[in-house]
Amino acid sequence: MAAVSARYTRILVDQFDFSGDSNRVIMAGTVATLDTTGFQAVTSTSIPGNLQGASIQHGGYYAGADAGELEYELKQRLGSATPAYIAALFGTNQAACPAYVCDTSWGQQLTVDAPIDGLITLSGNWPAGGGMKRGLRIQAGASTLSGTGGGTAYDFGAAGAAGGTGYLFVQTITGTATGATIDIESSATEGGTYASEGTFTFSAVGVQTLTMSGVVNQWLRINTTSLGGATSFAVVCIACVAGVTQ
Amino acid sequence: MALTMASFVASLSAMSVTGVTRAYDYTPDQLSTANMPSLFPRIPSQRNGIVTFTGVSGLDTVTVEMVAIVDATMQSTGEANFGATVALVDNLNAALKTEMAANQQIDGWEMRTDYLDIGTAVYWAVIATVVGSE
Repeated sequence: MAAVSARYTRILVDQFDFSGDSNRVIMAGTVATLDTTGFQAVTSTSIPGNLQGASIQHGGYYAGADAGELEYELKQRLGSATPAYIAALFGTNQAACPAYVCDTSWGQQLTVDAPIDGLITLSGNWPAGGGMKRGLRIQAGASTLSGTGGGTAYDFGAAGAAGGTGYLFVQTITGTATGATIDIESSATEGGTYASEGTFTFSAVGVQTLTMSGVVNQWLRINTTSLGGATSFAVVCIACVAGVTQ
Repeated sequence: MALTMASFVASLSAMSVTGVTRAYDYTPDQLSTANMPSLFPRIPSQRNGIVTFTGVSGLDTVTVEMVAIVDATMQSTGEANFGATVALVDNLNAALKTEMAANQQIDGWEMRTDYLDIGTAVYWAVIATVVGSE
């Protein structure tokens, strides 16, 4: 199996794709260790705790002071009570690449480094206040949606029985969207009948979430059911299926 | 001014170095003893690389050797040529400091002395490897 270059990485901070300004992403998941060593034990023993922690560390370059630039947006989210959604996507040379989403995050740290003979660099840390979810990308932002209908379906390898979470990063809207809707749909087979697992409704750029419940079938896709009057939009959709991708 | 190899070489070649009789803006094939000490650029090189996930490149980094020729080894005496070489190190260093203050594209330099074959003769030389980026 060939290793994959790190250039096939993307970092999303809410509606912003900062991959073009970034050079480093570290996703760190941690699990507490519970000591179970007893009297007269000949070796220490432990079990994993139930509480998991996670964060995404992110580094890049200063490219300007305006809104939408990395430095500005990192500062806006530093210690902010407004939930931020951070996604790190790895191996983006594959369409349905894995993506880790820091749910309900905030900027925990902002560092600016200006070495005399180098570029001005920025770094930030995003804790997963609402937990870290792992999913697969089922829609890439590079593919603009300009009409209704189902997208390409992706094989998740197995069906889930305990629902999941969907994230829609609405990056750009051309025209004006009022109540645009996109479903996540699943089917037992690629060419089978797709049923909705939930609906994202949006009128502006930003991040939308939905909760899937019960059985989520093996093949997933998005279905644009309404443009809401917009000409087109670019979205990234990540589907996290409990017991399958998470 | 945007950094290019051409602009970097031109600015270094135009430096005023105390004691230098003739400054070239190219690497000469032959030197005349009447023009000693001489200054010229050689061996330009450049590097860059990917710095972001979408393939954006980083700083353009250029390197040029600035060579100050003191005199032919067969001319004068070792004592005189060595003394002139040491003096030229200081003069070239001072000129580079002035240039760095005026041209903030210079990151730094390293200097060494050596014997160089140019044309049919061997010369005492001061070689400054100058690195710039933007």
